[in-house]
Amino acid sequence: MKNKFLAYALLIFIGSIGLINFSFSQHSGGEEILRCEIPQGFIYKSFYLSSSGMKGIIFLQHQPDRLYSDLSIFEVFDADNNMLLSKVLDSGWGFRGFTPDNKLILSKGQADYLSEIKIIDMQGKELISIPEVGSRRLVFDLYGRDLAVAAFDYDAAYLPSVVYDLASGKEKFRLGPVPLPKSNKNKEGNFYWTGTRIFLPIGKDNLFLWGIGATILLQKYDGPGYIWKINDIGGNISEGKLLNEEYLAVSYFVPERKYKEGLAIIRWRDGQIVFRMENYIVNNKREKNLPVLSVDMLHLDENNNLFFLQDDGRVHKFHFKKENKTWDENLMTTHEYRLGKTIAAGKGRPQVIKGHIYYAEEEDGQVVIRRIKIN
Amino acid sequence: MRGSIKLKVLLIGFFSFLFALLANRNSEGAVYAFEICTLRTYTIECIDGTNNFSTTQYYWDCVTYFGYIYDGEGTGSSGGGESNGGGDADDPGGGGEIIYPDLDKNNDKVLDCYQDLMRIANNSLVITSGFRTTARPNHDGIDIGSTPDRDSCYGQIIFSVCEGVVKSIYFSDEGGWTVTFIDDNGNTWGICHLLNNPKSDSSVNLYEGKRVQPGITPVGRCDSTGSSCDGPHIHLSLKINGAYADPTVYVSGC
Repeated sequence: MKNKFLAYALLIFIGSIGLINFSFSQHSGGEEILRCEIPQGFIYKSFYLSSSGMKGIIFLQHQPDRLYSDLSIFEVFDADNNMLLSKVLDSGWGFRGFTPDNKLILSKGQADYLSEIKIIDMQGKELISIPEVGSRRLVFDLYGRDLAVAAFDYDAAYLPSVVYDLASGKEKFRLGPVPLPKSNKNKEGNFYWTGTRIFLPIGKDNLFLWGIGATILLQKYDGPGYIWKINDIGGNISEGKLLNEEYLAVSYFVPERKYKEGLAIIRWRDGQIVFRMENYIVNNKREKNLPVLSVDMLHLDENNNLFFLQDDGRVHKFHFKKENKTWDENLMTTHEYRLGKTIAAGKGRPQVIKGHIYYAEEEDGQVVIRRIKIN
Repeated sequence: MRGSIKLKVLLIGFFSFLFALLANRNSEGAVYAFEICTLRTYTIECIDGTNNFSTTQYYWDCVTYFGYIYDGEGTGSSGGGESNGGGDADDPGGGGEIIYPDLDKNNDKVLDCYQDLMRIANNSLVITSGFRTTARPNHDGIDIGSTPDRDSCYGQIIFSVCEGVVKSIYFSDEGGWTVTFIDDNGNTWGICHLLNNPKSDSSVNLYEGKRVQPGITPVGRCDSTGSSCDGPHIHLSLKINGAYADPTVYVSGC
């Protein structure tokens, strides 16, 4: 009896060690790509990556009696981890990442209002300055040729979306403000107009994509009419994103009794919908075992496999079927890349580049950026 | 024959509802709501410079009827019939119980007190940074945090500031996870720095088009996801006709 008890205890002990090792290997399984010291008196805030392998890290001055910092430091490292730049910013200025052609973005503002944006080069030379951005958002094309300051939702009824040439800083095009429709309420006085939800410069041939209501159009800055139009993508557009040089992803919703959320992937050159996935929410539960169909954390790897990065540390992958150039919602695999860790948006969101997930962790007064490949 | 079946179904439905209404009452009295909803599509003509085109918009057209069960003698009776508009696709009615704390006493479709944005034990909420102050002239909203323990706000459920509809849910570098609403007066509200994506946060389950009630509907959790945040709080903004306004015009500390 005693021996049996000891044997069980031993088994439980060995099992526990196994579990601890398993957790550890999952937790720190990523390949370390950068480790740097957190400056004294500062806290780590977030990180950005450039297409050429540069890393930018932001630190905020820690003031325990306040909830925001005026002073920040950003450090930029090249692909070989040599520090290229260390700069202190004050008066509400902050580093906001890299342009697609590896310039630096600085902005001044708080929360949902930006008073100014600057694009500078690595020597600190100012290339572009855009004042009074307001609540509009920055959108780059894939190649780093055009920068759009885009107005969405109701803002689009009061502010124009403006496209700038990144090389010269000159304005190329502006759209809107798009007037609100005359009737903007249902008969009970409920407002429902969703307004502009997609404004994406393509960066080639003066093309841009515009999504408003349930309609998506490919247009030219300088041309009349549109090249193609999808009158109704399947619901009110929520958001859109260019996944690569071929595909546009659009999420949409229909507020039916069974709330419908959908995702469409469109070949942006000809407007062909090549994939569609839909789910229903009833009593706060999704009917199908699918991720939240939001394009925010949607990515393609180099083999066109589709990734949804979830807040709970999981990744859902849909394999690309080369034979018919689409995906299958029934062929989803789920991976846990940071077991037990949720995405800490307050400390820099994970980023996906070429099928690798990059994330940052704090360890003993240092920031460590790791990457992991999902197979 | 078919008409008779329809009538029976309608009668059964009516009495089931009445039964549910009576069965669910509690001793303190409660307000019940049910909604009759119709999905509508709307075609809108848009003008983009010289081009005209039309686009479709979907919306859920609901009428909410409220019934009230009297307290006391045990004699239940339902009444009312307040038209409310909008629609919560998750809880589309059928006699579900809604007990309303009266957090919008002046009936302006906005929460009276920002204290009711979160409920934190042994702490109260305070405006930590006001609207366009001398120190922060471009601060086009108010920051609300917890006191005396500033970190007790972290992870707490935030309730809707207004009666209206969720307009958008997105992430931006400056605001972190952000939810915007349009209230039933046509004004837009924004709440920034939320923890995680409110669409996938199971304690919130938010989605665009969802109908929200002030101080009742969970819309996110408190964090510091904006780029200059050093501690958990929310940034609350209000826009009237596209221009920022001081939210304390509507919500006060009470």
